[in-house]
Amino acid sequence: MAESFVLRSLERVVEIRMRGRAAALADRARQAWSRCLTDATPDGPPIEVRWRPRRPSSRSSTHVDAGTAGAVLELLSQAVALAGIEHGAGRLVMLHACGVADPDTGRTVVLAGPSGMGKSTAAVHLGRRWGYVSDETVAITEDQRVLPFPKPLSLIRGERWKEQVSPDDLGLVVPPQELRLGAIAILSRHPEGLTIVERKRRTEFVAQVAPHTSYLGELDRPVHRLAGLVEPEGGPILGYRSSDGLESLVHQLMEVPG
Amino acid sequence: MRVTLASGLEDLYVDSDGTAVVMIDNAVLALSKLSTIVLQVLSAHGADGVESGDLWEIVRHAVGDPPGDVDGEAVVAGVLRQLQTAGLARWVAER
Repeated sequence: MAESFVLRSLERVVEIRMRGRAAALADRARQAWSRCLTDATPDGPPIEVRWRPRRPSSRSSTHVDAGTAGAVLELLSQAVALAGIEHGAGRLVMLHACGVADPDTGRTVVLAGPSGMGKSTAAVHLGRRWGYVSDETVAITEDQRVLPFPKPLSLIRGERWKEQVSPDDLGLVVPPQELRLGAIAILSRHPEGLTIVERKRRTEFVAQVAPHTSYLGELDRPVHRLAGLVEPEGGPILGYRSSDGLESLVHQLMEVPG
Repeated sequence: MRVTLASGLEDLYVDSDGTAVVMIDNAVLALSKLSTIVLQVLSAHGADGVESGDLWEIVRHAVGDPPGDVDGEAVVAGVLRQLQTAGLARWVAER
């Protein structure tokens, strides 16, 4: 028994095959991925998904094998993202970041940062006012278009595995189809509360944002590509403590002319 | 001792303020204005490299004379050590 559906992951179209016991999770997975479902034809190998209790968990861009429902769904999110990222290597600047877009103009603010910095939490909060682009991976083309990746948000809700929640179920705003890069900022926890902690000169900012990218070295002239995405006067490191204050910072970045 | 640009430099972006950012061995590093000038001098001299003792005289045309109490040669020597540590410059045997 198998259930399948097709998702868009950045520029990749990937079929998900939920095999055996995992087929029972297909409806939950479809719901979580509601904004990435597509009728397009897959353009590469599928992701084979299996739910087998008492086996070690593993995942790649072509398979998921996990022992619990929560693990299957979280590893599926990682596998789908990985499929899109591997496909974009050498062409796209791909940032570990959440992104939100102005619902009218498509101007997109990208907040880059490591795991645990609160990107998903920020996306949930900011996505109720601005269009939800992604909570994890933001990809930018050579002509500075932003590719939406409205994956399920990975939320910690007390269980071992992060819950995968559809942006539709969270009431997040749908962004316009055409997204342009507005600004990139780096997220940083700041113990004294919310402020733009520091605006780094462009070269320093590029060096600080580089660790939050995937496959940067695969690009032609990689630091030129990154530098081209940063304003000449540099880029901000956003210190923040709560998502409430983050909203005013993002508002400022949305207002800056692109 | 002569010093040359290391071979692993993958990309160098020099900004309008004279600072730079480089990728070497998949690591990305920001460089000060003086480090950028030194790196560009090394790049211009290719495989032959530059006698390290001559480097200050070469770069002072670009950076100007330092304040009276600053030893330009020592500053450049420090920059060279930083570039070497970062893998951007390497010492070579006399030719």
